[in-house]
Amino acid sequence: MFLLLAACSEKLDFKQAEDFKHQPVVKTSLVYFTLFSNDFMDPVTGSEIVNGVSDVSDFRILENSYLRDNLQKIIIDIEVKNEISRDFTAIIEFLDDNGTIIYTLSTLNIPAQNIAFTYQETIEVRLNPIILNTRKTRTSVFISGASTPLIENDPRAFELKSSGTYFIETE
Amino acid sequence: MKQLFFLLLLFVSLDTMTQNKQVLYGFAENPQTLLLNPGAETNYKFHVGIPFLSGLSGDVALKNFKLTDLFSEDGIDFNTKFFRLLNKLDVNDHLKLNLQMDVLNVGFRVDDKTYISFGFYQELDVIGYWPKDVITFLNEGNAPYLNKSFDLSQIVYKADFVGALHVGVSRKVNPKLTLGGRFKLYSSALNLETQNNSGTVTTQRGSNNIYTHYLNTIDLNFLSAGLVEDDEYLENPTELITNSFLGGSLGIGLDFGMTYHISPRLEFTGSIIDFGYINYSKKVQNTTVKGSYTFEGVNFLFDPASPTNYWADLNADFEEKVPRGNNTNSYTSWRPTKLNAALKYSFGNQRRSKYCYDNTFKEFYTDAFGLQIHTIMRPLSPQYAITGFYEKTFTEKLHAKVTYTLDDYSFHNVGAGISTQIGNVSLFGMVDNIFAYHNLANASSVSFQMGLNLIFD
Repeated sequence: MFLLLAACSEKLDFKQAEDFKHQPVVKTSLVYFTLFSNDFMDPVTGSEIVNGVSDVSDFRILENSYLRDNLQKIIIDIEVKNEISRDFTAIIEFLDDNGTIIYTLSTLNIPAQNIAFTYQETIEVRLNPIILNTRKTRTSVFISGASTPLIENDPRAFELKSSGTYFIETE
Repeated sequence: MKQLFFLLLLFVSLDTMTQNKQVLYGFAENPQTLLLNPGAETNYKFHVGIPFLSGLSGDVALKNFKLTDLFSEDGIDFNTKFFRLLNKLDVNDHLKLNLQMDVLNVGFRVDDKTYISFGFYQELDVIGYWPKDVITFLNEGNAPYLNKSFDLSQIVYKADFVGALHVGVSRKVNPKLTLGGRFKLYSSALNLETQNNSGTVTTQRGSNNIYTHYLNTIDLNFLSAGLVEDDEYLENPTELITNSFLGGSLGIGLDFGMTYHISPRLEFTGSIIDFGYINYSKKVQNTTVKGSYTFEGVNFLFDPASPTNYWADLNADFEEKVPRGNNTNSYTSWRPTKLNAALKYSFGNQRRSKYCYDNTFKEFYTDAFGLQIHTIMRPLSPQYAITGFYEKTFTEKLHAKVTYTLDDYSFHNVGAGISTQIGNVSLFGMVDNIFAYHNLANASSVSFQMGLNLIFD
């Protein structure tokens, strides 16, 4: 027992733990889709749909308070395989709960038959804090250039894939 | 700092479980040795433990980790040290804590062959393994680890706060052989455990989208008893103390033990301790997660005629395929059973001590050495320890024992203990890993045992 009471310990500095930084980087898939020529043609008249096509989904990940407090940066990666002999324009928007657009990625201009189009955009949360209000995402695709008419039932596709890389830092 | 740190360590260990008591085992016919081997020999008429002080032991061990790894004042960036530690530790590394406190311990001799002992002790036992993949995922994310399967089966921990009411008997079958047994009624006031989990989390380059995320055969069970009732957490911690006395989840266990004199100088002892289980039925709250899921992202269909609520569909699909649930089903868990065995060779001067209860004499030797082995059943695998020891009797009332133990935590663990009797007061105290005491922060494990009993010859 004497030994116990005489026990020593070298001086430790537990305050060092305050310097601890926790910096996970998480990748997730986002939206993907495949469109064909028919998707840009009016089923009745067969004419091109000039207003493009659009779809929207809720995106509730940023409701998480841990992410809202600690997210530093998001990198959005886009990959497009365009087999169709027409140029396309894609617009990807981030909306808040009311449907108001709060951030738009640079417009993607995808040339005809470019099967390896890639785009990356970095969103610094510090510079765009409003991005944390994102609750929905909308993608719109427009066909452009009219030199080559669309072919009905053309099996060639326009495929878009996307992912997000979230840089988190907590102290 | 030095004593303060030790007291902190002691305090932490007061909240814990079950340990290798290699110095106490078989030592000096102390009443407390009956809890390690009910077949140990005794030579007194009766004993009464001083309440709360008759047997007190604590043990804390961190496999492959020392406090100095992180907290030394060495000028190295804390994150660098943390990262180094993360890489060093693997799934077999763990933290364990144990405390056992005898509340009551009494024994009496029925006749010259039979000794009965009974009492009540409380024990806290905690073991938690290092879930390396989970920690890596939380710390670094999946981005640096594409294609790696993060293994959720590494989540293993068990914590139990138990009271044990026990009665045991040791009986001398013949001059060579003493056998003993002890019956225990456990009452667990608190149990938290998870083991036998399975499942992996993997992110790979995908085909339909850039990445595909897989949750494969997830099957997680987090069990608890004594902590939550009707979604309310235990508010009064003193309930734990009262529930440890028959008010908690009940279980039974048995100890067996023997002493056999192969020759007058050579003695074998062996025991099985805590062979039993507890049926956790009080304040049970379990959480389960089970299923498999593959996620490629949200597949836009561009159908304005019937728009899809992708997010709600995704949530519903995930809930269906990987259901999470709570239940209050009782469950059974084995106690951490211990096995002890020792071979002891005695030599030196031969002396006679009076067997006071029947005025006969027992011959004994002043010196002894031997080997002990200790095994404890743990969630992942049994842990083994082997101990070499030397015992010295200075007078009939003063004994000392020195041990050298090889175990999971250290290959140079030296322990020492003394046992003395002054009048009717018997006192023992022992520590292991004594060379660690000059710098506890740099030790992987330390433990102590002490006790104060009244012995009547």
